[in-house]
Amino acid sequence: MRALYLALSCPLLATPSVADVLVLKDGTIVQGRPLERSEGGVHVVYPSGKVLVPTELVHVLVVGGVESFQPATDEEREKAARGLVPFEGQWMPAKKRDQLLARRVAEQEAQVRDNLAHREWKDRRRAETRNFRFEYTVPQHVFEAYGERLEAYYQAFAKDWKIRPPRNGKLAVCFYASPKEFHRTSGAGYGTLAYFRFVEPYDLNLYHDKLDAVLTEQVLYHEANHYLQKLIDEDFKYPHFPGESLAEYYGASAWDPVKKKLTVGLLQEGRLAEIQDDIARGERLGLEALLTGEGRYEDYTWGWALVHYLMEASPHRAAFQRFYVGLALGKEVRRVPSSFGLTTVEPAELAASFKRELGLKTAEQVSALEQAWHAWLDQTVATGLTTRGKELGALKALSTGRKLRAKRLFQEALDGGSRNAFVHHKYASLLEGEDKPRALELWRRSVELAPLTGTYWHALGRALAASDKAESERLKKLAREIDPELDEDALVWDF
Amino acid sequence: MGRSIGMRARALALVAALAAGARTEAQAAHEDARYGFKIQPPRGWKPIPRKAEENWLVAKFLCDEKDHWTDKNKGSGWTWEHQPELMVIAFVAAAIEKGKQGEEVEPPEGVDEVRVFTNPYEDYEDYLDRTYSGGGFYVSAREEDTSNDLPVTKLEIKVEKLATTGPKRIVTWVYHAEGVDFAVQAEVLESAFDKRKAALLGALRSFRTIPRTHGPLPTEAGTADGLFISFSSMRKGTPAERKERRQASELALHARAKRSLPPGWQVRDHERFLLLFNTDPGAADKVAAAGAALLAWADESLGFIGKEEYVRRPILRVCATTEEKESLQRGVHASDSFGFEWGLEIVTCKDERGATGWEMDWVNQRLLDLWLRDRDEEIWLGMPGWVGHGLDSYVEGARLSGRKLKFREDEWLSEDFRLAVKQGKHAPLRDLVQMTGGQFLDADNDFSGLWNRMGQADAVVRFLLSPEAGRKQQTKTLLFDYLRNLRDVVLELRDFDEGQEKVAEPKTEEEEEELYRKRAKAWQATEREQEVVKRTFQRTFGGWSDKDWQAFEKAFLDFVD
Repeated sequence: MRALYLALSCPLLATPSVADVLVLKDGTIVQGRPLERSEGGVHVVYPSGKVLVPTELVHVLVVGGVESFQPATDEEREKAARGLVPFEGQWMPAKKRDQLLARRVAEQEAQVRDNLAHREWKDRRRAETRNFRFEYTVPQHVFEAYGERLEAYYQAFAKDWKIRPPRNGKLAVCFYASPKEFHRTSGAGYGTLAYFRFVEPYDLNLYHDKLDAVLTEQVLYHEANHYLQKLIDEDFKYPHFPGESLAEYYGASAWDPVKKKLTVGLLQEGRLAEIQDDIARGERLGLEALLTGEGRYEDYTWGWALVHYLMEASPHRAAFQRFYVGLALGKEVRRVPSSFGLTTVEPAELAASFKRELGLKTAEQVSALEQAWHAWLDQTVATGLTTRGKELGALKALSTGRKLRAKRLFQEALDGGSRNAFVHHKYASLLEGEDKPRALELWRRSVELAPLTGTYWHALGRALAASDKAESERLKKLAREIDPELDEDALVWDF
Repeated sequence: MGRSIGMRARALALVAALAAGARTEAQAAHEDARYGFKIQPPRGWKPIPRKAEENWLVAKFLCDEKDHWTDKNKGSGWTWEHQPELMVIAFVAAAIEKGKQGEEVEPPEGVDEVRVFTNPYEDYEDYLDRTYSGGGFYVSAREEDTSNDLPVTKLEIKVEKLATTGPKRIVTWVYHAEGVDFAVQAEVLESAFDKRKAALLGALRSFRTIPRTHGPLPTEAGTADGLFISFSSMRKGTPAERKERRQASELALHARAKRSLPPGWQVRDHERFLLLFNTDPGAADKVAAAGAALLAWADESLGFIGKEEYVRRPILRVCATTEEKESLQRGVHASDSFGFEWGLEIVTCKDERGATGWEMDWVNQRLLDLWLRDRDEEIWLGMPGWVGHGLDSYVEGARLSGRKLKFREDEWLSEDFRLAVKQGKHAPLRDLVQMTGGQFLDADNDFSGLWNRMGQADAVVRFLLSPEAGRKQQTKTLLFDYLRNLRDVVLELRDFDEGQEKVAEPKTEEEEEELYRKRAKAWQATEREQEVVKRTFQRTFGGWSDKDWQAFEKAFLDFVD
């Protein structure tokens, strides 16, 4: 997360030089706070306490005009003797580096002020891209990143599915800076991460989860996919399967901001973790059950797996696409009226259409496809989940109230070397009620891993409320000093 | 010049006279000496009373006209009506602080300390976040100002996304008085805002403080979710202690209800109710008489349930119109929310359709709920779906004819069931009476056949309470036997639950997964519910042979036919 955390009341640029400045590798800049070198890193001194930033996170550190950089080779010593310092892969005079930093600090300070000025929905910013109309309260740089990737996503889907232009202009995408504002303004119920309004006027509403940007991205892709599916035929409502399953397939996409490239159809590792547990229990969802079920949870897990298999690992990609488009447009498909003047298909018709398009004329052929799909799943599961998969699986289990499973997966992720501060934070929140010392230990680890994320300090402070009120208050205050944009209400909602 | 002055003087005198006339005709200002404020609602707007258990709303007015909005989007075309409302909500600083600090209550055995936090609203925006259900909203303008010598925060709120009856505008002025913030909130359809603007702003501007002469500001800051405390305390101790607490609660609520009545309302202390009404007294008396007859029927027919328990006298409000009733029921909730009732209060209105109307349906059902809740809450909550639905439906149809209570049937459901019988789609009675709530609703699947089952459950209960059933040895006391057995099973399981309380928490991932899957299937029965149904069935029908079931089935179908 690129953001500048500083005290806005501080006359930042009154100081002529950048005597005390800390630039982290993730782009965070700390300025206007005293910095103290110490063993293992640098302490940032806030009114409510010192925060240790480990050396491994530091990109540039200047304290009292003195470089943190210590020349180690003759070449470096020679350059240092000439007054040069390393900065972003180049050697340059310290003065030039200071000027660059000062300018960057000023720009980011202005950006923070600007972001705060647009934080309420009444002050939202608006922007249009080729296919979307955005309204947003997220910081500008967050919007820019997502706006760009959503356009690429549209193009990728359009290429595969030959969608039609929308009847009533571009889709409105409403992007909120916090869950609280999302629930308040969008009218979404609690627990909802995002929604796409599938009757006109369409709009897509979601919030930016600052602590889990990957989740935000996947949710965006998932919900946007419902819109894109709609553009196959706006008068048709896709049934839960395969609608949600295809949305999950496209939800597993990733954007490379450097190459400006979108990769779709990645493995949904969180879903895979759920399937792995089902298989371990001896439960396998059959093809027939998936095709004829109505509104099953498994449409997100086994349904995703089927779509992924058909699109990525089988010779049926084209046939599956024909089936999918045919549900809405095919002449042979019998559609029935649904709500809001839309049409849909019943499960039996859906199953018949699937078999027709994939050439499954006999029960044996259905069984053969099922076996091939399950064999692919077995093989995929056998390769084992990555640490990231375990993190996602744990977060999913937690969000669905399966605490024991979440605990196991969190612990396995940590044992696998997870250095994800958010994962530590959520694991701590899970353990807080039953094992406070362990929860505190995890929160302490969270603030070590991400020392300039106010949320984790705030959570640690809140957890100490009963045992050490003064420390609790200090840490909560510190959290606000670290992150002036900290939304405490959002934290309360998170638990 | 002199002529001109004279004409102008006469004109001014005429204006003054008209103005004086207008003042005499204008609606009286609403004054509240306890909270210390006064407000002039728009002309013609009706004051709506507060429910006795309402802690935040201090005044409410309902517009005498309706506005309309038509959804022109594809697939809709619906036209919605909406009645503007004006509310005053008080945020007493001391109450908020008290609620945050919590209150110590007597802890259960083995627990050192229990502190109850009543979760008060922090301020007006927090209140909106937690109560507004008319759609997604945002504050579109915020201004600090002064009005009538008070600092005021003026808020304009737009309700746009997922707006249930159309986009709306809320204009709220939060007056910051000593020790209390008063949010004066007006809500109107966006499309009607311009038309109503002058009247609404006039009301908002008219707010001013007056001396508080009725004691200190109230500090009861609980929100709806904090009320379980009083319910739980009324369930503890001996029957005599419970009676004492219930009577104290009843008295307090009755006193509050009387205290907050707006002009035009009357009070009558009825033997079974506190009767409050602003409709004609005859209509209110009829509602009270019918309700009292139903309670007497419950005393007599179901008297074995919680025999020693004191049943509190509900507050029965009879409004003049449906709109007033709905506004009162909603309380602080959005003007297009559904009203809901959870306390000791039943709100109804004069039924324009008389005895054929549906108002008494709701009243009767609520009365049975309140009666059962005070008699034995666990039986009330634990009643299997078929018997619960059947009893509800039975009492819904209760109407007083002369001095006799008659129970009419729900013709729609009865017809559904008769059709189901003709088509052979009805459930065997032996299956029906073994269904859990989830099975009764068939929520795991697609609710198919639900109407048939509801109609069948109603018909079974009606049959079991009929003279026809009363004449047969097999069915004469069957329903009461079933309910008695249910009571005994619930009592047994109460002890069982106390010993097993922590076993419900899954110990392994497999158990957790099982539980998750059960929960994922909405309405799925808990093990406890299954146990209640099973044991009650065994005790009531355990000795029945196939022949007995055939006889029961035949007698029932003969009755239905």
